[in-house]
Amino acid sequence: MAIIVTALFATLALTQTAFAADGVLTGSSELLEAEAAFQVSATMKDAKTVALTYRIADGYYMYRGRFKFAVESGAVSLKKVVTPAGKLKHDATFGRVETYRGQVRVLLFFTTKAAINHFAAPANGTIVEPIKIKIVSQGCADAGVCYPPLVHHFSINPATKGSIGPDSPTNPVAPTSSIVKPTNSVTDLIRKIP
Amino acid sequence: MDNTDRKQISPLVKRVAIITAAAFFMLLLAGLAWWIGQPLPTTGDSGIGKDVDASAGIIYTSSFPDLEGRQQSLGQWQKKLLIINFWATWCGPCKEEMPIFAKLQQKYGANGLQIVGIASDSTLNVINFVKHMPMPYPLLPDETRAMAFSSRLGNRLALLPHTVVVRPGGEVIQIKIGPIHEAEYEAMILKNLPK
Repeated sequence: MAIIVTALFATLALTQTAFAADGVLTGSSELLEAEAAFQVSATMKDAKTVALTYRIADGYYMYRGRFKFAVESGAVSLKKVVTPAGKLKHDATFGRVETYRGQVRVLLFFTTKAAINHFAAPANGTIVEPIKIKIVSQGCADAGVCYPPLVHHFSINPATKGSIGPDSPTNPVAPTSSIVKPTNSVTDLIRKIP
Repeated sequence: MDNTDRKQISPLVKRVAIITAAAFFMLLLAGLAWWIGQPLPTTGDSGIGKDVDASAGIIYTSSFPDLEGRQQSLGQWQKKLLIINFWATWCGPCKEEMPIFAKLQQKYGANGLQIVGIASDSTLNVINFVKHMPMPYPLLPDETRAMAFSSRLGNRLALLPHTVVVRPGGEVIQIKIGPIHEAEYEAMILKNLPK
């Protein structure tokens, strides 16, 4: 008897915790935090190219035209960005917009600053030193809500193999896992609002 | 000896215990079912929870610039049924529901309804937006302050659209994250227009 009651109370408590820990609900659907809905990781494709992979959760989409890329530090310039074609959607303000779902791969082509200024630069446009890049992206959920622009910083070391996640906001040097555990911290969210 | 005593009273105790346990169990199940069915404090559709700084004070003392750059105080509408809609030109679902707000403003504006669209966006983007879709209520763009204000009014995840309904005098009666439902909104407006 006591066991049954305890088990039931435990179930109640667990259910409550589960609800509280999840994201906001709109109507009947739960919403993920932006970092969980739009996961990103980066890899060095070759000595001049960084490939970004976005994994967009089911029921979420991102806007192709809302991506922005910038070099924050390092002796390189962004030469070209290649984003794949998205699905066309009509927008009252912007006319035709393109959206992404599922997995998206973005290629960032770099050139060294020396290679721009002096054609005979020894580095030949390859990334030889760690660089830091900033990416702004933005997406929405099919539930009918949009997330504010999401800012990611990546510290990319050409010597590192494999994929890395964006820098943690508290420790901008060390990369963190690309899978960010959703949190419910209000301050975390406020900090992300540009 | 002990065993014999237990054997003698056990049928009655057992029966009572089973009935009590079953009743308790059913009561708990019913309670659980009721509890799960309850609206959660963070649902998109109401949730004026304890994390919401939704006092008349912060609403009526706040100002946002209009498209000409003039500060518009929300306090000028304290005698009206005020609907504050947070939106942005980059938010597709926001723009999809704006014709509903336009219709409601045109229909009930003369009866004391005031809708205000605070945009987490640049003035230029909003000016371009109204060229395509002129709106019958003020659009106040403030790229730096809009979302912080929205957060103070219950928008924990900074999602758009976010709509806050304030009765004449300052009582916040509804906070909605996500698209509104036209018929429900119209009924709510009719119920709360100033007398």
